[in-house]
Amino acid sequence: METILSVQNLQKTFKLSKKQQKLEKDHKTTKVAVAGLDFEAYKGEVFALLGPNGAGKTTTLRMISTLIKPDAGDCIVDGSSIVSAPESVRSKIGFLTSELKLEDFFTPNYLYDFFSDLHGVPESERMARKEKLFQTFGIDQFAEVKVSNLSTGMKQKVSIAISLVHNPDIIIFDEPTNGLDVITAKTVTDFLVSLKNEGKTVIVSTHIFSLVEKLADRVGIIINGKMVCCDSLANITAEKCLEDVFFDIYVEEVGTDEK
Amino acid sequence: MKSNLATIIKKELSRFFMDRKLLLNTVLIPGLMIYIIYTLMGSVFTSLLTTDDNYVYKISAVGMPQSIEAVLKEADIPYKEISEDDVMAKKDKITDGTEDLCVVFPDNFDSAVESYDSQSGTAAPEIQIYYNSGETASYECYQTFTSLLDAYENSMINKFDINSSDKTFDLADGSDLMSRMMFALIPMLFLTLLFSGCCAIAPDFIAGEKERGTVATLLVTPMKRSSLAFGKIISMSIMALLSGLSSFLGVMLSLPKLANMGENGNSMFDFSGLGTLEYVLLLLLVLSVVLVLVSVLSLISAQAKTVKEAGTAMGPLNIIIMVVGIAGGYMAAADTGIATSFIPLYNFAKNMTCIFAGTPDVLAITVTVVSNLVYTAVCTWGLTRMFNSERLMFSN
Repeated sequence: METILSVQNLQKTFKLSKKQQKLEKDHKTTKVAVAGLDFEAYKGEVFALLGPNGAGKTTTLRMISTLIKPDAGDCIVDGSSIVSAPESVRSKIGFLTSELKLEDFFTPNYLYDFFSDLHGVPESERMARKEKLFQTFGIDQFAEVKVSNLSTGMKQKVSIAISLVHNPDIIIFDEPTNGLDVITAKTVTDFLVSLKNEGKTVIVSTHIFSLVEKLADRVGIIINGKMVCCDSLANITAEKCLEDVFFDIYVEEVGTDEK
Repeated sequence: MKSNLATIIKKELSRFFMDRKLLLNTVLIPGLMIYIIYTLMGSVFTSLLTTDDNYVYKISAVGMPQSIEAVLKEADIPYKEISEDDVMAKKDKITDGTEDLCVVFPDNFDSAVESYDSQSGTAAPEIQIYYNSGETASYECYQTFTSLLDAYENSMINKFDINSSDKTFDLADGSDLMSRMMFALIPMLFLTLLFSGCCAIAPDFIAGEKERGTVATLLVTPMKRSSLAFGKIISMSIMALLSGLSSFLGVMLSLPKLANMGENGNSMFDFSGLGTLEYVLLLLLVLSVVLVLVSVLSLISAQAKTVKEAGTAMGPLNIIIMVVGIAGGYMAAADTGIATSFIPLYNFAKNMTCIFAGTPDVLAITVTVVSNLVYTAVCTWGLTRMFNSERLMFSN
């Protein structure tokens, strides 16, 4: 298996605001979000990061996508370091998170072309790819409608299309189906399957077990910023279903009281 | 591959020009409103402060002497003789604005004046003139009447004349003093208008994008942060220039009406002394100062968490800009050193005034433009660092 993404001892600690400090039981001034994470993703696989809220999934993906810098450690994405070559990393990945919003004033058509320009997609490739993505997500009918007038689901579809304008080999989606209706969620899930079939590497974070069971080749379970389990889905679910395995690990790591 | 800088500028300008409401609020309305308001104010003031050319003053007089009667006749000013008993009634009419003037001469005024010796120490014959300074016609009438009396008094004791021949003794152009004052104000006007234009756009430009989460979408593209920073600054400069130009046109077109000048072709803004070089220097000054203003406001916008916070932080700068603009404008003549051309904003006001005064200092202007470009480069570097700062970009 060819390693396309390698996370090495990734660490991130956030300073807490006074308001956040009051919410912490021990009034700590900092919070360790990611504590020395190591894992690898192989070419053409779907790697799922599974964990409860606050486990460090989103922070990990934001560091891999170079939106934030790690305090220590590194991640090599298709040969480029997120620390020393962030621009190169950004050109190789497609990243989608609910925090990334589209400008309401523009149409999907305009935004697609704008982000294609920023990624340096040649005009010759752009049209065919746009047509394909817009058809897949049913955006073609709304291509000239301002984003402000689109439904939440359609906005998410446009966001996905725009994150893939440069046809990246590595796609990182953070909670891609969060807040979507079942129809839109299925469209997105099916699209992730099609990306896998195209040989793309997909890294997805979620806390939805069914999504992981449907998509993932390998699973990494993160709790309190640490990778507590990383194996193939087949191995992890050999004896128990994923949900049971997850809660067994959770109880072992955190204790029953916080379950 | 298209330049990312050009892509960012194109997108920001598209946003600006396609948004009719924004375009209307930042470019069209400021200039139009300034023009309409100043023109209306000019019309109202003019009608309040002047009387109709055909207006006939309503003057009453008690004991009008022959000497003054002749003076009034020559000036074609009519009057009505009344008795001393009617003075109270006339004073009431002057108070309510239905009559303009009531003049009470002492008995035998002419002979009393003739026999009066100014060395005697006794009081001179007194003429009492009742008028209403709150009424334009009454006040004008009072001034006309007293000036006629002054002229008559001077003619009685004339020992020498000053500038009485037909020659032109004031060698200055009629509009010079006003022009000098106005030209010293123009840099301040320019700065405040450009600043207002920037303030209409700047808070939303980066803080708004942060607040809406759209800046993060840009930050995950392979574009260099410096391209994003510089693209934002250039596009905002273009918008600020357009907004400032609109306001400036509004001011320039309406000021002559406000000052009630230009009717006789005597404009207070005479740009005929400016040649191509002066216009090029002016353009360079304006462009460089816009870059400085926009760069500083971009830093404030990037620092703020919300549009509201950015707007609040930018407000006090307006006072600084006005003070620096006025200082530069009025101190320009005395300030001949190069060192002050390094002071941002002040250097613009000082050198702009010098250009209008016909004494442009090319070296000082070059220092101004270069130093402004350096300040912009420093701010762009700062903005690039801010775009790299997760604490600032993802503080929400």
